[in-house]
Amino acid sequence: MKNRRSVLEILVTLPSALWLAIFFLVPTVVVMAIAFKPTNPYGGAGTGWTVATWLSLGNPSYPAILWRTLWLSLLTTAASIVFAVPVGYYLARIRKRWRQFLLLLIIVPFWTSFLIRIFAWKVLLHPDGFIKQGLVFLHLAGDGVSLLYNPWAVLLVMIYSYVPFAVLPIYAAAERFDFQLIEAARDLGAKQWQSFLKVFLPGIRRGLLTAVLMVFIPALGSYLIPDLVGGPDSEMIGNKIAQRVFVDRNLPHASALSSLLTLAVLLPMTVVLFLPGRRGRPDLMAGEGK
Amino acid sequence: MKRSRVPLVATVAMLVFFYLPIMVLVINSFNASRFGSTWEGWSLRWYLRLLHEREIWYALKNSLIIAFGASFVSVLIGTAAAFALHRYASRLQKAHYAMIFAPLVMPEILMGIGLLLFFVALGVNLGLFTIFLAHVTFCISYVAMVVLGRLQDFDFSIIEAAQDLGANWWTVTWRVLVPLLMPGIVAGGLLAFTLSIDDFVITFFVAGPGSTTLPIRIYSMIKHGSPPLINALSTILLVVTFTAVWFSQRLMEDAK
Amino acid sequence: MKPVWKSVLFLAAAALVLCAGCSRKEAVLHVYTWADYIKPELVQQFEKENRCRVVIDTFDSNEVMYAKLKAGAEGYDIITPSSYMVKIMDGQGMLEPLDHSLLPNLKHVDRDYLRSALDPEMHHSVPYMLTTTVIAYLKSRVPDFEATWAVFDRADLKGRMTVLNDMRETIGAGLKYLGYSLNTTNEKELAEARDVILRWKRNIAKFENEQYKTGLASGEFFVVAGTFSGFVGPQGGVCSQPIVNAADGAIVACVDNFGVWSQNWLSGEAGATLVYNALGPSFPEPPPGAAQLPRLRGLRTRRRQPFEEPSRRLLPSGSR
Repeated sequence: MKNRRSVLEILVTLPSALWLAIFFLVPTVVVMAIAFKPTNPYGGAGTGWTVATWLSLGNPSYPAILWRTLWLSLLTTAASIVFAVPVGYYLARIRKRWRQFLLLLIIVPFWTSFLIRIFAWKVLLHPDGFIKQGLVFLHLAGDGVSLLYNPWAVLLVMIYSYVPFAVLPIYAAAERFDFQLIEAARDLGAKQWQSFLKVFLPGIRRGLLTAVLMVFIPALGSYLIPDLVGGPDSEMIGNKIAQRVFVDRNLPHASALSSLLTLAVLLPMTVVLFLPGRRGRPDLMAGEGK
Repeated sequence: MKRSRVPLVATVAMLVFFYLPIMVLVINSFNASRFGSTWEGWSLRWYLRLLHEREIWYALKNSLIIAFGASFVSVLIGTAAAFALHRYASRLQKAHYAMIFAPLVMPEILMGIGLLLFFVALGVNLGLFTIFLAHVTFCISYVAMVVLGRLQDFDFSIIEAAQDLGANWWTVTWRVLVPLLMPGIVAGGLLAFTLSIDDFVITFFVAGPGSTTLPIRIYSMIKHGSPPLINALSTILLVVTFTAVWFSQRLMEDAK
Repeated sequence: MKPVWKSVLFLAAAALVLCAGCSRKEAVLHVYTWADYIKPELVQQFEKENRCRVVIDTFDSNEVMYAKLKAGAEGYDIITPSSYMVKIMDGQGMLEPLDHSLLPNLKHVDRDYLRSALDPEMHHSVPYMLTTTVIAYLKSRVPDFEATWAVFDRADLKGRMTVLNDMRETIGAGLKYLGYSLNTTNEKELAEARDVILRWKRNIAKFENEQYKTGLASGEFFVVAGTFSGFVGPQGGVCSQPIVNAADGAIVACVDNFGVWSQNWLSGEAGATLVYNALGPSFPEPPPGAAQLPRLRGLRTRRRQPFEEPSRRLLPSGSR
């Protein structure tokens, strides 16, 4: 009986495991491998193997870009969590009917074309647009200033894009939270913010962790946002990779940068996935359809 | 007990934040003026011009072909994966779960460059087929997660009842489990469809001649002008998306 | 449950229908070109006359096009790179030789230009259009504009200027600003040019090949470096001297009052000569519209017919 079950298990696991092995794992390995090849000035990778490409990552401009990428992603994650926690709290507390409606409102922009939403910000932040004119009116900005093409525009649009990724897991965790614990804490004399910090937040720990993961890691790889609303001083590592591939046709360099990013991404992922706990499975999509 | 106003305020603020750019887009799509900064009266001209842009229809056709194909295949593979993950708890499944989870958080640019270099190394020609392969790859994970969520909330007493009534394994699976799970599977399929239609970064890396998809076309339009056309196109896409999401949510509800 | 099955069936049926539509066999011409290069009406006319389909993909820089082709994007029949890129691609064996017997209109190509061209025998390429890089500015927003590359040093215009996202053009601008030759290979001079660009980088909003056109028109940018083909000819009124050749080699165009802005550039008809001839000797005479184009935009096409003064002024003095 046990043998039969194992065969069945392998059969059911096979399609997805095979597909992802071929089209996900192997490409990742290919990328790391090409990082060890020399550059061919006419494009593509040269023959033979070398570590020169990796060493060239010490070039002054890279650390600056890596640092900026890290910074922007951290800020985005922090802001998204700060925004998402009260929202998740609210959603978990209100009546079912309202909850459905609000969840729908939150999910819809998430399903809308990403490109279009970024474009919408280009329109909003246009130097002749009403936001800029409002700022000038309030004497908060000069007339010649442009709100676009700087790191703040990138940060703003990044937060805009990634907040839903934080809201959903936090809401899912908040929904399972036993709010009577807060009542109990209050009865015992805790102030509002105390019960919030010491009872609620630890209670949705898993949701917070998932939210951090789902915002920070994709944020690190942002490419479109700095490309469309960022300027020359707000480039992120994603742009550099794209530039190496599409403009410089320097595949080994692009691969080295990508490998670096992959390692930076795998680290938090493995830590969270293999944390001791309930089978280590953050329930990401639990929020849907509830 | 006095309730803090903060959560409500935060929620309202966030919704305003979300919808402000979208509202501006929608309103501007009816703006007769070419540039959104001045209002020149109501007009449908941009929608009419949209109808004549053959490049957009061509791109839309490509996007739809890929989306239908990719969501169909990824639903098959993803549902199987969800079954495996739910039913079995071996070490194999732990590794399996890691493999399914990784594409969800992996930055798109890494997947894009990986697939591009993979296809280049194999000498595969870039085109609609390579885009299709790429889309299935990232859709599997989403479908698996959605169906897995459904499975975890599933009331297995129905299965037990069917087994008690003498149904065998095959009947139970195909005539009880799958039909009841169908809303979840369809929801997963819808999610995959939307993700495929909307994908830009990965598609951009693996697209070839004549395989321009709608997002690539939109990117090109953003870069070289005609903002009002994009506004009109966006409004149409918004309406379609809203309908699709509403429909999907209804499906999930009906299942209860 | 039933409605769900219906929707699944519907989806499957839709997929089948779509696939049926794309299995029709017909001749397809794949063109890879700059955005806004070929008039849609022209494409439709060509399709009708030659009973084929034309699929156009666009790129916004030579490097991107080259990278895509090198990465395995096969299947393009016609591409329109810049001349230096033709040389590189030829060296890599990426281009097919042209069969002149199929291209009767080649006799119209301007011999004067060919003398200084990189492919004078037209082995692999046919010249399409000659244009120049200009600095364009909005007089209404920058009344005190001086015609020189040094405009990019102006901190008061910070964030409202762009330069081309093209290595040759931008380093070239730096070299010209310093008074060096565009073709220098002197390491020291190149390093100086690089430092100039780094200095300018602080003031510019973006390195951009395409958005500068709409950006300028909508007032997002005040000063842009672009190719002249990106602008409709000066409309007069605001600018007393629409085109100025600056001392340091900058050609400056004042472009207020865009007036009639057409997305679909002129180059359509001139392009007709190239596109038509690629597939067959169907056109003995270039389409009638072609002669009007240089007049409209002051650009020089490859045809030997005489054209207006503004276009002559745009040429560097050596090749007039």
